[in-house]
Amino acid sequence: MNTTETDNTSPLGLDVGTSRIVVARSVDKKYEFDSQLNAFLTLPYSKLAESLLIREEVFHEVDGDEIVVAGNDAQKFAEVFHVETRRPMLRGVLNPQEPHSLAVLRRIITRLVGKAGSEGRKIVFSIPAPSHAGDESIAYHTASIKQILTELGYDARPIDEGLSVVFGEMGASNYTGIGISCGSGLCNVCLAVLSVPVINFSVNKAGDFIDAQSSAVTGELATRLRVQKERNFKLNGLAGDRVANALTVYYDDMIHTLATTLRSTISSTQRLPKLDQSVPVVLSGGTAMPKGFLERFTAALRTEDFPVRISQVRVSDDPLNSTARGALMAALC
Amino acid sequence: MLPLIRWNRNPLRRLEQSASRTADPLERLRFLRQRVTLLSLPAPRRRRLSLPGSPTAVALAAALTLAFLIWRSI
Repeated sequence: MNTTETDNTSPLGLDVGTSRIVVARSVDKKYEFDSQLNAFLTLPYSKLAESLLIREEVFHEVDGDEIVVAGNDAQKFAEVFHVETRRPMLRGVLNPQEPHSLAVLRRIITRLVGKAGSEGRKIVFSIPAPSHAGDESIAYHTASIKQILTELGYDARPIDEGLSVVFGEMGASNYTGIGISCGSGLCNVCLAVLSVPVINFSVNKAGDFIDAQSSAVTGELATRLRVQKERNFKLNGLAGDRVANALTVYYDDMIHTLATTLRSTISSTQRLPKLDQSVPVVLSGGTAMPKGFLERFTAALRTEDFPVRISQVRVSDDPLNSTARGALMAALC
Repeated sequence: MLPLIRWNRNPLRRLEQSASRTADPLERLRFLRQRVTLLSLPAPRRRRLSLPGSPTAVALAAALTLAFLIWRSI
């Protein structure tokens, strides 16, 4: 396994998402991305299985009497064996019910970013914002990721995921606007003015909520639903397909919750600057990708008066890499 | 904690106009983050920061004042 970066001095941006981990690097003034699924599964150890995995160049590691297959390869194995992948993270932070969480996260991050090469190389990594109920586990999650990166030789700093989206997407509006990252575990939201975060929060209904609820009412595996959702799902009303109908119902629930929470949070913020101009809203993340999501979210925002004027609502041109790009821009500043 | 920023419209508008003149998005972000950090500081510290090389400048100003007072008293 190659764990050393080719250019080992330039800063990096890292999106540590519940579903995917994405690294962004700047090469010849262009941004390049690499990602791994933030998932794993374990197989009982046998010499035959290990030699097969080595021959097929599958990302794995032997851990006692188990073989841990992690990253993108875990998804392939899960589909073949019709099992659920296990997740190192849950709702934006380290999964407290998963004993392998930190070890698997360390392996995936190490595979993506490698050792720093030069001591103190800068890396900015994304962290979730607290929800309205508060979330004490964010501090532990942040410290754990920072420790992994520090051990690899990096000077690691966190950035809120919503602010990352603002940095990655809103250069044209002088980094003023509302950035929303619709991921698996959470939807992270940030209203920034001239690059300063003014409001920052998360909503815990996101992709995993849709998968879990749809799985409960249809009896399908959540992993399979996720694959179907990412490959060919369109959010265009109820139809004959019961799986598509379940996904549509819970997508609508998530969109409604996000729009309502956004409206009420901005309305209740007392130290909000007076904005002369209308501001853009940019959606990113895998959950915002299905066709029809933008139209439904825009309609949900416009059902009632919104506390700030909105110039446009759009989905990022590169929704899976937007957070990592913003983290890299923060690292390059 | 969110940074303290003076939501006085004029400085923000001037900042926005200056940022808009920067074509490169990364340079624009760098420009804004440097200025907004200064705006975020409480006023006394901002004034101190506006003196370049402040310890040397203060020492030089004190020496010149002392020299002027001695010259006046002669």
